[in-house]
Amino acid sequence: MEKITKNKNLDLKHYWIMLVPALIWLIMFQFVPMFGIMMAFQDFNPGLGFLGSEWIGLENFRYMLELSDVRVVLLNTLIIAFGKIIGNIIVPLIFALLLNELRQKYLVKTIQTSVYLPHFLSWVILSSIMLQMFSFTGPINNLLEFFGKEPVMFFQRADLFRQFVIGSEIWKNFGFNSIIYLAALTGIDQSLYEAADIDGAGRLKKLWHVTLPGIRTTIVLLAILSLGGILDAGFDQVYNMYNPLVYSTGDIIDTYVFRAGLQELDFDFGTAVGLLKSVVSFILISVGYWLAKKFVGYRIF
Amino acid sequence: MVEHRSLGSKIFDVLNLTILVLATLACLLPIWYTLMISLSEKAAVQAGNVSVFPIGFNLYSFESILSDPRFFQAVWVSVQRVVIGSIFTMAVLVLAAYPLSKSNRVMPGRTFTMWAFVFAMLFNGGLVPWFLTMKAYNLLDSIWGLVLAGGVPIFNLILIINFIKNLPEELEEAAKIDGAGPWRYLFEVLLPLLKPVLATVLLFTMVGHWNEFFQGMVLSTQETSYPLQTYIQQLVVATNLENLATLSVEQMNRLLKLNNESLNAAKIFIAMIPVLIVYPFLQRYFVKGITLGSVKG
Amino acid sequence: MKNKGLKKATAVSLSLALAVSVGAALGSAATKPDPLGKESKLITVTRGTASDPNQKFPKGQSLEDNAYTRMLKSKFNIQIKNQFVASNYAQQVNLAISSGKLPDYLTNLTYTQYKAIVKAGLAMDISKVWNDYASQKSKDVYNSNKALFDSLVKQNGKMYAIPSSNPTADFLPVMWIRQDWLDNVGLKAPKNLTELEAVAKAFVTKDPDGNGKADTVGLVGPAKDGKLYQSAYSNNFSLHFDQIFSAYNSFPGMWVKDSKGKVTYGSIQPQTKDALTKVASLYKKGLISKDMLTGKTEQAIANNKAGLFFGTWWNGFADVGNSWKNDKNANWQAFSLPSGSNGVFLAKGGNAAQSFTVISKNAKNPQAVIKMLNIFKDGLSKYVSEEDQTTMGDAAYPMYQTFSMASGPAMVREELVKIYKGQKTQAQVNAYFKNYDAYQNQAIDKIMVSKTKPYSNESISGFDFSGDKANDFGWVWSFGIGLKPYVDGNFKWVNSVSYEKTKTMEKRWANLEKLEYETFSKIVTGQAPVSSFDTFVKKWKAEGGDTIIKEIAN
Repeated sequence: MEKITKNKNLDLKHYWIMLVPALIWLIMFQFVPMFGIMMAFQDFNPGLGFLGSEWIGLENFRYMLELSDVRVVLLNTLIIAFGKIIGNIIVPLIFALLLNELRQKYLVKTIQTSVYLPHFLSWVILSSIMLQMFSFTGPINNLLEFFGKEPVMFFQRADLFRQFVIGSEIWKNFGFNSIIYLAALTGIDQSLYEAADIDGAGRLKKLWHVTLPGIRTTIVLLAILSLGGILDAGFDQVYNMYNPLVYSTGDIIDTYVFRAGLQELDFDFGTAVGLLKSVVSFILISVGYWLAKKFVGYRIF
Repeated sequence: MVEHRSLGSKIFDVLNLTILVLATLACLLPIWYTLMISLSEKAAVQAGNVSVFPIGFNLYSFESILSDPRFFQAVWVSVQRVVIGSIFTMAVLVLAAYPLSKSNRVMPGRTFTMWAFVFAMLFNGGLVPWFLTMKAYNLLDSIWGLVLAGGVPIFNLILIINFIKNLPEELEEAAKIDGAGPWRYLFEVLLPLLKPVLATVLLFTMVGHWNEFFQGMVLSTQETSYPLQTYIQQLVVATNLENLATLSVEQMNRLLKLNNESLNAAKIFIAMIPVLIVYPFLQRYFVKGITLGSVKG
Repeated sequence: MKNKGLKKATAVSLSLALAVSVGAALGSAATKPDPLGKESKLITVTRGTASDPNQKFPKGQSLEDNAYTRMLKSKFNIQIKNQFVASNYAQQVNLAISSGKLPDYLTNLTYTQYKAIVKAGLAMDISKVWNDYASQKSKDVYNSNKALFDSLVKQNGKMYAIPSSNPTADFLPVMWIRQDWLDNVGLKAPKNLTELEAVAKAFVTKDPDGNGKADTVGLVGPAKDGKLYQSAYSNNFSLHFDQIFSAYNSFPGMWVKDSKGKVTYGSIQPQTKDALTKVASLYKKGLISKDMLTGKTEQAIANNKAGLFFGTWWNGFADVGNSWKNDKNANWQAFSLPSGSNGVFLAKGGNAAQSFTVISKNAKNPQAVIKMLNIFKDGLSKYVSEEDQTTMGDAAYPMYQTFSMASGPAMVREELVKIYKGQKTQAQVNAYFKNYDAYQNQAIDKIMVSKTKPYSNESISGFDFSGDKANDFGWVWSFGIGLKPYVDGNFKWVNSVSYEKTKTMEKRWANLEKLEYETFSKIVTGQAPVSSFDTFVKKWKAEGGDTIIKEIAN
């Protein structure tokens, strides 16, 4: 008994040794820069540094509330992120179901390989391609013209930009996101289908009564887990696609923080807006963690 | 076995096939289109005539890339980053995931550590303090800066942890009875079993390092330190010279040289090649890796 | 013993005295500043610089090591070291500011950056070193616009930056039209908005390029991230609508006086609304580039699908040059579009100081930066071979900024006209320019090599660009044709009441500018109704505009 405890303690020591590299990294590259958060409460002067700059309390946050811009940016972020979350749950689901129903099984592999691909390409690359494809003289507009439609200035239309961002995000990731569904589909007990066959159920009926209930947990879980990302509308994507004409609908917290904080040299204000985002995200992730545990009995980590 | 199928079912099958093929094409055509642009002549590209096939086929763009040392410099930085970065990340992740897969009962402080990681993922001091920290560590223009900046991706850590948790507990007990300590267990028993999830994480890490442009942009004070994606980003979204406050006769003279879209497309295409090559090989692993790592039965 | 001590003391004091006097002598020799003198020993000066992917270097030379840097090292003992090199220069500068550590000097800073550096206490007070080391030519440039420059770079009598100096001609918007297209559709250069619309319409509908396809653009609008008009803080660019605004007596982006003489902001005046309505209607009728503000509209010019745009005198180097490269018969001519019935064009006066050079307060050798400017002003051709200079261009020089006399380029055209009219010979003009900017004689020489007789023919057929001469098209067309409207003089400047940024602007201006840009862009492209202008005015005033107007007025 004593020996086992001793062994356990010894093991424990080794576990912590294994964790050392990760912990050092965590402290050096994540916690140390966090001191910068105090900038949000300062009138930051680079010449004087963090210690010498004047403290201004909540002034930056007060200013934030005054700006109609910040409200717009927050709204954009929520709409885009929400749209992405919904799309990223539903479209891959439909795709997985369709693929599951495909009779030409020899095609499955090819289709999968193709649709997973965009997920692995960067937004720098994909944005460049999109800018080209959706430009005024690009193939998409050529296609529209071919069908007798007016060409559309995709990147000029503030009313289309969010849809564009959401749509292209879904396009990039629907294949990849379908992996989990496909796995869950294979996990459904085959005898349930057989029983349904005996009952004379058609394909639609089987989908409704067997397939969907079988992967319900997965769907709910994914929805809960994506809660934490509600303020993540995708910096890389928007930053590489937007232009001032679509700021009113396309500007998100991350791009705003980048512009205010670096391009306009308003370091402290940018930090304040970023901090707001962190706080809200942390709360949402915690809520998601709790919900998943409570309703699905799943611990994220 | 002859299957009995209703007309509706047959119509559905045709429709289903069509939709799936269209979805597949939607994912492949943009890449194909980029290749076609890079193979077409400049004028046709500008006029927007190129679609499915090249117009005025030529290899000029690819030839001129061969004589562009800046492009190769950027490729080299990216390759270094991917190789060193993947080794570093994989090593740290494996070492950290095993102890963190223990329950808090076995390893007190484990849950707290987990939350510390999640907390750190969400909270940061923002760009400027981060930049100042990296500068203080002397990591500007250094391959190590690029390797360490995103060195321990939390998402991937969680993936491996969950994968380990899914393994039967008896495994470790049996190994312990055989007298294996934690290190031997980790390297001799666990590691081979982790193959699918490690292959997945390796793919994510490699692709992540290859695709990252922002850190490359902020941490480079010399253009020779740009990784490929940063180089392309600066090239394609390059500052419009006419918006610069400082135009002069000399700079204007250089405006004469037009932005070359075929050339850019060629560079974009080349930047995609490594992903196109690596990813299908690892595909058979990552489906399993993701599934077992993220969804517990 | 005592004696010895005394002796020692005397020796010490003597040597001290000697040292002091020698030092004084040396010191006075050293402090008698020579604007173009060689440093007594090799000094290293650090800087940050933008890099341009199109920058070319002669064989064996590079950004770090080229004819300019070699010359500075060997002739002046100045070694240049690039602390950072970035294609996104502004961003690297901002990061450097955030860290509180600047290189010895930075050129081409925006007003915001320069102000932030001063505020952070990172800039050196260069009043004395400028006084001591700036050459007469450098000082002449500064003095050619002294009042303005003083107001921008001096605080409490201390000088914190060297402003760039753009020649006045840079600010005059020029209407470029393809004369050959006008001839094809049987029209003349427009004299008012109605005629402008007619020309734009004819260019769209009457197949001016004669290819039988309706593929031409009327008036070319701003490209992606471009602006609708020049302002007090941003000017000297092409593809704007300034001429249309001026026709409505509207001066958006400028601080103006209203009918009662009160200071206000041009963009919130009712005339601006009228002008926006006009632009929106032209756009709706399809007479302006369809992809304006989002696409690369300038490509229509290069591809010869457009024959009309508002630009600057130097477009020969850019868009017009691109067009001509693809169509050697493109006959672009430069005009002023009169704003009212009296034939005079009301042009927004610009801020001659478009950018700033700041020396770090920690720089050990600030005089080296001033010296480099003096060398630049003295004419780089005196110091490096012509071949090197032509390949790299002046912009590769480590202390490069636009730094020309207010009347700079315009003089070229003025003297050119004298040659054309036979009042002066080329040699006389060359002699006359010898002591001005180096480029004036370059421009005259290049134009005269290409110009054919009779001199009165200034259309494209009056020039010969065969062989190597094609390389100088930009020079010939910009200085020879582009400056015509400026030299002809049928315009009147409308200056902004102020070109400075006030205290409130530091925090709010970016936001207000964005609001303005967004609203106006949407109005002209028909994404928002013209009535949104009124909402904009209210919002603009409430979010800080009113405060700023008060600050400007004082």
